[in-house]
Amino acid sequence: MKKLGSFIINTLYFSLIIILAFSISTIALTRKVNESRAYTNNLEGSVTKQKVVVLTLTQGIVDTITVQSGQHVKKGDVLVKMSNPVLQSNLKVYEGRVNNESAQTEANIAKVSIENLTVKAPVDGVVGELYTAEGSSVEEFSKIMLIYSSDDVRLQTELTGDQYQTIQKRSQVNAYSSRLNKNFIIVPGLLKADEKTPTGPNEKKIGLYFTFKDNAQATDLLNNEDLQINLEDTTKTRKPIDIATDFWNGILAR
Amino acid sequence: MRITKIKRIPNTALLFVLLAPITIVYYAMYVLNPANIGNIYLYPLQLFADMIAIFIVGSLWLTILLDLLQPEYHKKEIKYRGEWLMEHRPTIDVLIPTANEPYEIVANTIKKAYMMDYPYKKLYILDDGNSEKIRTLAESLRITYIQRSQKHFAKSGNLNNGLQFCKGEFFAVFDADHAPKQLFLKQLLPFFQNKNIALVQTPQHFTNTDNFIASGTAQAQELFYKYIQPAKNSYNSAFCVGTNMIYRRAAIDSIGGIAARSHSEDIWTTILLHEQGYESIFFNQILAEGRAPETITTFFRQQNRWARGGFSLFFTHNPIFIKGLSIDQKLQYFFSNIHYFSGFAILTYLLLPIIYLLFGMLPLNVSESNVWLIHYIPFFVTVYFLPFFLLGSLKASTISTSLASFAPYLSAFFAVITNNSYTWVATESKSKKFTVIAQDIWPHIFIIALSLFAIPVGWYNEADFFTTLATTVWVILNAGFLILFIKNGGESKK
Repeated sequence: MKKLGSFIINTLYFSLIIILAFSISTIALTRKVNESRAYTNNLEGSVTKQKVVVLTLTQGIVDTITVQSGQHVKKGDVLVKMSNPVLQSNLKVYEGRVNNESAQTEANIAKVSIENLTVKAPVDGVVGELYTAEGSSVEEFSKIMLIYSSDDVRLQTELTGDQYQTIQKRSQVNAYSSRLNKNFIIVPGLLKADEKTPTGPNEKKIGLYFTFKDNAQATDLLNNEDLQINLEDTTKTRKPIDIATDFWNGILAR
Repeated sequence: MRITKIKRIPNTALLFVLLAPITIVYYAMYVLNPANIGNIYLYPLQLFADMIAIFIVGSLWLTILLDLLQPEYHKKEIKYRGEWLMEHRPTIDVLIPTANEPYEIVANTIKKAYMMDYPYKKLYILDDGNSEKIRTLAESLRITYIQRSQKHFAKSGNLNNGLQFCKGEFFAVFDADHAPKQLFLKQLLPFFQNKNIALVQTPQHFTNTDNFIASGTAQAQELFYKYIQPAKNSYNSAFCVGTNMIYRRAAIDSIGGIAARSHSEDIWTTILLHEQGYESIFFNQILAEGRAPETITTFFRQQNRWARGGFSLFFTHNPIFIKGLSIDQKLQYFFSNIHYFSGFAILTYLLLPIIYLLFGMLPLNVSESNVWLIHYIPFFVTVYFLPFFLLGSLKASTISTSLASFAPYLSAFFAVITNNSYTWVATESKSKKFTVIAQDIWPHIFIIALSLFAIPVGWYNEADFFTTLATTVWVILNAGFLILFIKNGGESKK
């Protein structure tokens, strides 16, 4: 009986010890796997939108700025209302001289100028910096604000050689915005012209521009925002390693 | 006569004495250089372990060296005339304390003691185990059999209790598992014609070396008895090891009896004697044959006892601070005590390569591995092959048992630090308590399991091929020795 009891206690003890050793080892393994994944996956891209400078087409005084920095605008939306009383009075004068041809031409020009006192958005996009304030007087063709265009949004990244190979094998690449908690499908596009010389192994030296498959979706993104690019092959089957790593990642994440 | 010291030092030992300082200093230069620090948390561990190893090897080196260099006129002349026995007719009590050791072993010791060739001896069996069989044997041989009702202070209490009934001028003590040879008393008593000598100690010799564990510890002990104890002799620092010795009764009485403690009373008693100015002699001739522990449990028990002795001396009665001891004595006792800190060093050395495989962290910055190797390998050889240098051979069992002994040393350390009370269990006794082997070897199982698991983890995405390879080999070796220890340490077949 004593032998059986001793055997049971021994087995219990040893099982506990071995489980402990196994746990420590798989935790260490998880850490290594996370690191290597983060490394291969450590691809961030930064959003680059076209910068469109909005210019005044006529001179005047800025009455109201109807948009704010960060606001989405569509092409044709009113951005700024200007006023120019001189122009208004001139128009009346020109219109008064009905039979004078040059006066009529001047009147037409003045009418267009008055229309241009309402500054409209030239493209879809997001309002960036404002270069003027309400109440200031502006010249013709002066900058009033910056719009980040929603057309042709790009994602700029720097890759290692391995990562570039991986991208070429993928059928589609995902980019993830943690801010919006949203995934975007991106398409590899142009290579940046200058390749840097690497100073260490694994250094990123290839510059690449991605474009967005659905550009309209990219409207919400801000210029210079960072997105995580996922290089993992989502079609891969789960290996036993994944069971262990998911387990520990789940526990350690709490 | 002159006391035998290391008469002719073997060439390999001479090589050790010459090389050790060079290899040690060379490595110390590397490891102490802050430029070589790797991981900031592991580095102190490595440094700590290395300092312990350096200290222990260094103290051994110093002991041997100073003994070699002692000029002839410093060595004391000991009066030794065999005729003194007939002239003086010293009386001697032979005490055999026992506590639940296996009957056959105790019976053998008793019979051998009975047959020692000297007329003026009286035997006493001090049985703390209440064995009927032993009582019967004692009666049949007409030997005094003493039991006591209260068993405090274990062996020393047992001895002190027995001494009450003893009237001899001297007394010898034999542990139940050490059987004296016939000439023991005749050979050793003449030393006591020098009035100041209070202790004559002879080596422990182990005959059961066919057993794995026994052979491993026997070789470790050989180192002690061949080099260390004789060297201590030169400085009057030889200490009692608990068996195979003769004490002068008057000297023991003057310090109030054998030191009253639950363990390590032998070395404590010697310190007290030295404090009073008495002298001790180590006579390097095998005059008794004993048995080394054969199973893991018994081996660990013994090592735990010895380690507790060392640590408790170190922390509560550190010989460095004891008045009445000479500088040599202080140093020698100190060196013996610190030997058990090697448990920390061994554990660190076992764990660091595993930590590298699991987490990729290194205590030292070995990016230029050649530099580290050049500094480390000579040191490594000096430390790990020490028994080879000094004894001429190195057995796997020695390495195994040394590696495995980190467990009893560390548990002894914590027991002493936390003032754990200690119940003395004889090395060979079968305890009534339900002992489970797992209690003794769980650290080893843990390290073995961790080693095996760590290898695949280490090779996943390995950072540096050669470092990982070297570490893997090292881990496999260590685990192999531990496995060997566990496999061969099972219950001995009787």
